[in-house]
Amino acid sequence: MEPLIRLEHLTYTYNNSSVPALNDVSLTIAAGQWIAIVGHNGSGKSTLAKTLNGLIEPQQGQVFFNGTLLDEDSVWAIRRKIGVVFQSPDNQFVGATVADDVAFGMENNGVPRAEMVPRVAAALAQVRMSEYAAHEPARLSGGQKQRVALAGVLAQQPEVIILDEATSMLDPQGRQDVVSLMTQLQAAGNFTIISITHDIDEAALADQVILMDDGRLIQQGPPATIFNEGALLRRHGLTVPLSEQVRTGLVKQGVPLSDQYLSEEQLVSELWTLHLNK
Amino acid sequence: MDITFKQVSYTYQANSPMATQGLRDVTLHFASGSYNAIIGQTGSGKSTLVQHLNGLLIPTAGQVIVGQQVITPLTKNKALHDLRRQVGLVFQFPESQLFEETVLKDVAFAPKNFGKTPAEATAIAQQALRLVGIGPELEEKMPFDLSGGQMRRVAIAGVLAMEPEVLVLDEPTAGLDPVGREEMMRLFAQIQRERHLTVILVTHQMDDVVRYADQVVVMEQGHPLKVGSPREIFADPLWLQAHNLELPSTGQLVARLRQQGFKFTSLPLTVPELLAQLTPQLRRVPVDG
Repeated sequence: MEPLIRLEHLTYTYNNSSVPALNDVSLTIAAGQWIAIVGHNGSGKSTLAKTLNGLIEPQQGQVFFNGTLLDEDSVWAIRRKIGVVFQSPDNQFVGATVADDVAFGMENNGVPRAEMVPRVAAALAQVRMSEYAAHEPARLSGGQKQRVALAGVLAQQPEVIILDEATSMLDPQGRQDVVSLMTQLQAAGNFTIISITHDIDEAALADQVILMDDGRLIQQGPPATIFNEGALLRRHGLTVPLSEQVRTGLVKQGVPLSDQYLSEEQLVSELWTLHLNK
Repeated sequence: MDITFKQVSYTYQANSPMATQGLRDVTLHFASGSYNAIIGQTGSGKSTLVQHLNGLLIPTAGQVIVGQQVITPLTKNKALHDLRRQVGLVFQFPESQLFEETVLKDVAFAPKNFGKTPAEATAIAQQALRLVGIGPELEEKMPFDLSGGQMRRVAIAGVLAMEPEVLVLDEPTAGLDPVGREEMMRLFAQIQRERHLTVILVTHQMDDVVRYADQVVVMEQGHPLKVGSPREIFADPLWLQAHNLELPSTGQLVARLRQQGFKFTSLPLTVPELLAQLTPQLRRVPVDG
């Protein structure tokens, strides 16, 4: 079956740079998955995301969306299927009220007003921000702003939602809000989520993790496979998840745990089987 | 440099219908040379508090005493010139404050502005740049030609070039990746030791609080709710939860382990502490080699 997104040998160098930001990247993303793209600042992960909706046109290689080659003719139709929530909640508001702001993207795409009104209401309900419809976006908290930005994206009924470090500027409460919302949305709907992040705990929620460094795809696989290699993560500028640090620490002291990455939940239940005095 | 807040209150847009209270009855002490962390939810008054340290905000009531300088509601802006040199502020995204044509000029700007000769200012700037790990080869570059991480270092060198005695860090690692964050935090700790600075760090990163702070202040609704060492502050998970504060990353795992039936006498704040309490409760086999 044709994957939702197929990248073939993408290479891209920014104008003012001599080093490619993307270097011969090929990968596929299946529909309905939660994908985390991880890597340190400058690893190429945001550039990669920008090639998906044609914001960046690679000098070499091709992007296919549902089997269609992304080119000058197809870019507008494809862009409508991909919504993006950016890092800074303050730089993405245009409307005077929350509801106006959510409607903005649909206005741009020529959605008739009669259809727009219920879609705004539904999107705000999805992100649990209905009661703020008439509020000024500037007065919301960071987490609320990102939820409104997400509502603007949802109202356009995209197939793919890209979160470009969308939680990195939020306080822990705001981050938790947005992450749990994304988990629910993905479970309920038919979205593909591509989350660009350097929060390794957030990446642990994904079906697939794509590790980038120096513009190259280092590894793609389920979190268990990627996180199992602590040295690999550290070498590429990331931290090792806490459960993995604890697992390797205990193994070194002779605790007979499995030699695979374990999520916190799995770790706790496996540890319980090794408890001395139950 | 010792810092004392005596019954400080601050009202935004005082005497208007929009008046909102930013700080209320804050009494605190930051000892000279200590590393302090201010934690609390967004909107709890953390940033309002630290803006009092160099007179960006003047208290509506009470006194802020920084070294010899006493700031009261009647203090005039002109009287704060020395204070602004003595207290260096690093905000979120400090690189957005770079403006000169070259890296060296940018860092030399503050000492020049505070009365040093051009030669003295250059020497101070070079020293500050070396301290943050920027080599001579970058001095004549335009700040905007540097990478994001380098720009941030240059901006921090600009603050250090004022030779402050107090360093205020308001979420200085926001948006950095984990390795960049760790490097930056280690850099601040090193500078603090070498220059005997008093550091005030505003943060949401509880692991940094555990690693670096001597004293922690928990702010809620403009008031210090609790003051103590990291160990004292993080001792009571239920209290933290009730005030919407996160535990250090070990804390959540410990909560799960406790729920399952494991016993912990005190809350381990680091991975080695966690291993030390956990290992004796587990079945072990001899390790090869």
